[in-house]
Amino acid sequence: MGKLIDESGRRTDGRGPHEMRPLKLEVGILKNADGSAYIELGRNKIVAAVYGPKEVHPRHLTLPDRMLIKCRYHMSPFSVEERKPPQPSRREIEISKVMREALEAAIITDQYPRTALDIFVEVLESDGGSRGASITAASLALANAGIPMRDLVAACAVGKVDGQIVLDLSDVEDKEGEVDMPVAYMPNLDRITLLQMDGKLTIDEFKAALDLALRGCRQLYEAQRRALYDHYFSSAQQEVSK
Amino acid sequence: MDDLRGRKYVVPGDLVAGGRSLRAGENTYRVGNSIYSTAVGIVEVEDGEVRVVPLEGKYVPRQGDLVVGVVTDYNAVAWTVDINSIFYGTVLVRDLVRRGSRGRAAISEVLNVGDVIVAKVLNFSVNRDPLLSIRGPGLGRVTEGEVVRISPRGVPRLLDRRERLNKLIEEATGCKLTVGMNGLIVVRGTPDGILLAAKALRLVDSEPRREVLSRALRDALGIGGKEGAGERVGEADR
Repeated sequence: MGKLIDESGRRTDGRGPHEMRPLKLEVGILKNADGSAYIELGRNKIVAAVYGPKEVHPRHLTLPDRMLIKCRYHMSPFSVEERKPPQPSRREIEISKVMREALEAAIITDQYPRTALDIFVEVLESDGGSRGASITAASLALANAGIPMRDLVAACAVGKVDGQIVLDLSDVEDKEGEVDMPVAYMPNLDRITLLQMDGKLTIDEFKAALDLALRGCRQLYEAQRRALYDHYFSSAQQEVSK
Repeated sequence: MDDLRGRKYVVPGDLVAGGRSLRAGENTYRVGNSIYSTAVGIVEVEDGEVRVVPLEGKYVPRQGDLVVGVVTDYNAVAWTVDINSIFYGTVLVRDLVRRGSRGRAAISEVLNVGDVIVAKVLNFSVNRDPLLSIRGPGLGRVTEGEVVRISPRGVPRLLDRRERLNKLIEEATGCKLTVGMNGLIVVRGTPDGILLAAKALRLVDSEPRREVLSRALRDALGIGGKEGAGERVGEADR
């Protein structure tokens, strides 16, 4: 104990408790997919790609009143320190499901009934908090594909490390820390679309943690908007801020 | 105040307008006193309605649209046509083949798999595949020329009445363009003309800036000023 945050309050990578890792977002990086995005958050490197809307295959899965959304979160064998077998693990299947639900809340699925949407997320390098980063990137890929959405979804993790509530856990903090809590959020609508927690928090700690997570998400949201503006409107020098 | 917030470019979730005076049109939605965008695009206001013209997304059929498609399958009732959209188009066999002679051979003689057609959207709702017709002037099977694909979002620019980019390309290359609203374009003319026209069309697709595009197009087509350089006027095909 006490090794993840030093006496001056710095974390293992030199960050303060409420500081996020360096972030880079890019939209439209793949030509073959209908929409795509790339995120770097710390050492996380993640590509998201979207195909659709399109006909549903196999046919019997068609939903008569809304779009069918499929999501696959996958970690490359070389994304972690020791080779990860390429077949989807229990953990990846779970993340695929919660990601799909976190994004589905933003997608206006009844605009294109009887169609399917494929979301692919490939983690090239992982550094803790990859589900949040994946949701953040996938939401940009959806916007890039022209999928109708109520809002962008931004997601990040908060946690408790050495008794302190901190933002955006790194890999070590996730593994050695006491609590990890990923949150996905639609800032304009003020709606939470994913909330998971691993570990124990008191009610007060939870409130503080959630508050910090939402602040982190708003920060990511601004970065998402900036990435979209840069991609689409950079030539038409428009103000990005509200 | 009940009006636009003055923001022209929006991404999903952005506030488009406040107040109650405007109706929420295409690619927007209303929550209480606010209208938000659901797409990356440009805000437009017309007749008390705000809408967002999207910059991305697949072609969504509309009644009356001219489309270019490829026949992918057929049965005794209908041909299935890939129109580069969310849904496949349908052309009914009973519209084109006389009753009593609707054998496999008779049907495939009219339209076969792989045929390119120019068609009109007769009817479409999201609950039914778009119904197409190839009966009418300028419609039907394409027997010559090449198909060039651009993004469906580039088509309105190509057909813009003020810019007249399609006319510019036609005059400079001597080709005839049949522009499908779904982004497929049939180009008819000499082989050289078709190559040049395809190059120009790809420019329209890739360059969003109006000024730059117009200059690049003139460069690519080899037009200095206003005059068209198309000496090789293609044989009129109709």
